[in-house]
Amino acid sequence: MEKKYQELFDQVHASPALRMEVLHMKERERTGRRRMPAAALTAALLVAVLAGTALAAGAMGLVHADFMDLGLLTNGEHREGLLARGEVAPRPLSEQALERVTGKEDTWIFDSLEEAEDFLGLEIASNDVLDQMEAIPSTVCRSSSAETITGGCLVDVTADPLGGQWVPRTLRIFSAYMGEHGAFFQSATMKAAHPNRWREEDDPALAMPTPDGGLEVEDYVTPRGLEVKIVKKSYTHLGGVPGDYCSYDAFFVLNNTFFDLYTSAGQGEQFYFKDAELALAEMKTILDGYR
Amino acid sequence: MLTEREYTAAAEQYLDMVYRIALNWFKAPADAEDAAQNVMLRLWRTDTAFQGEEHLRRWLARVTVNECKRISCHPWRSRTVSLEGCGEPAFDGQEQRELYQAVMDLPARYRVPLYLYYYEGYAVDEVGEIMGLNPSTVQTRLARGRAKLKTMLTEE
Repeated sequence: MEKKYQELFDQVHASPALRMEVLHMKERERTGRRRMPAAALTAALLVAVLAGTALAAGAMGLVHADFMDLGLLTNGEHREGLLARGEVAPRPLSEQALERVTGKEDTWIFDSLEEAEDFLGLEIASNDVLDQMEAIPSTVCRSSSAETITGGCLVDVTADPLGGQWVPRTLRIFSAYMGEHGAFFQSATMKAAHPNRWREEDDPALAMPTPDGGLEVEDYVTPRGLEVKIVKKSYTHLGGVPGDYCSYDAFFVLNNTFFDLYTSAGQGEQFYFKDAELALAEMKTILDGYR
Repeated sequence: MLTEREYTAAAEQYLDMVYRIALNWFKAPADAEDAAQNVMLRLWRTDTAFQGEEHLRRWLARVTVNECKRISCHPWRSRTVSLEGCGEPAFDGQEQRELYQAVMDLPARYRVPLYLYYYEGYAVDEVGEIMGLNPSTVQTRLARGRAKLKTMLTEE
């Protein structure tokens, strides 16, 4: 296969037009402007082409985002908000992953998402756009111990004791990426399949109290047919400082996994994106890449 | 800065490599040409003092990967990333067309490491350095890319 691969690319060459352009580049100033990218010119045409591409049937699932009184879920205190929930079936894990579960809550640290996938024995999702972005470390703060954990890819595991062993319940896999203008944080939550599990695990869900600036939901469908709920949370104050801040969470279900892709925008060092519209546009670019 | 003669020699020798890396990244020849042109413009304008051919070659590979990342993250690509199967290079036979299709059907994260490793002959840690990945991630991507390619070719 290696030889065939080499022979294949022996036949791939830059076009004569590109060669000519590149060789004449030295006639240009050594500081100057580039030509208009060809792909930008064809953008309108491509919308129609992409509309015909669909994700493999059965790979997608249902995601719900419902406004409700979150007090019913938490401490009983009246609190308006939104509950995002994904309907997923349990996914089987590798033997080594099942053996590693040694407590009620645990966080496993990997160098990269690929290493985590290899260890868990499953592919979480494929996304050409995220793959091409720079992976940056993720951080989680464990509510039980207030401990902060940082790593290339973090896997939060919950488990139940059963007959002298720990049976994994859920896994939440965190990875983060830096784009040209800002960072994106992906969490992928799944139920763990186990032969000894005797009760159905609840669907993974995230509750979001309505912030002072309000909360909006946008239904977005990618060109491949992935249905996404994009939740925008707006804040008029943050840490007591007035200003325009917002965050976006994109919720969807793919491969029996509940995803939350997150980014934020605002003024201040903690924000990567300075412009909310740009943050949303880049988020949609990433969403279009899931398959 | 490179002299005109040095630049011409470098362009003659490495333009195909730059183009192939970009093609593996984007699949679409138009995007690959845009990226290759930007890379060569950067070569023309760089004041890097190259310490020999290998330094120049690796610099070009790394700059190409970075340029591809930069273009990929641009918002106007939101409707342009998946023009698959458009403008395929010309091949001698059906078998090579099928192999090319199988390679391009691999997820993007596997295509460039496979190319750098199998075609350009870089070692795993060198691929990691060029792509900004740690060697174990490169190793995983190579193994998965190979396995997926084998499966796809067997299925056909």
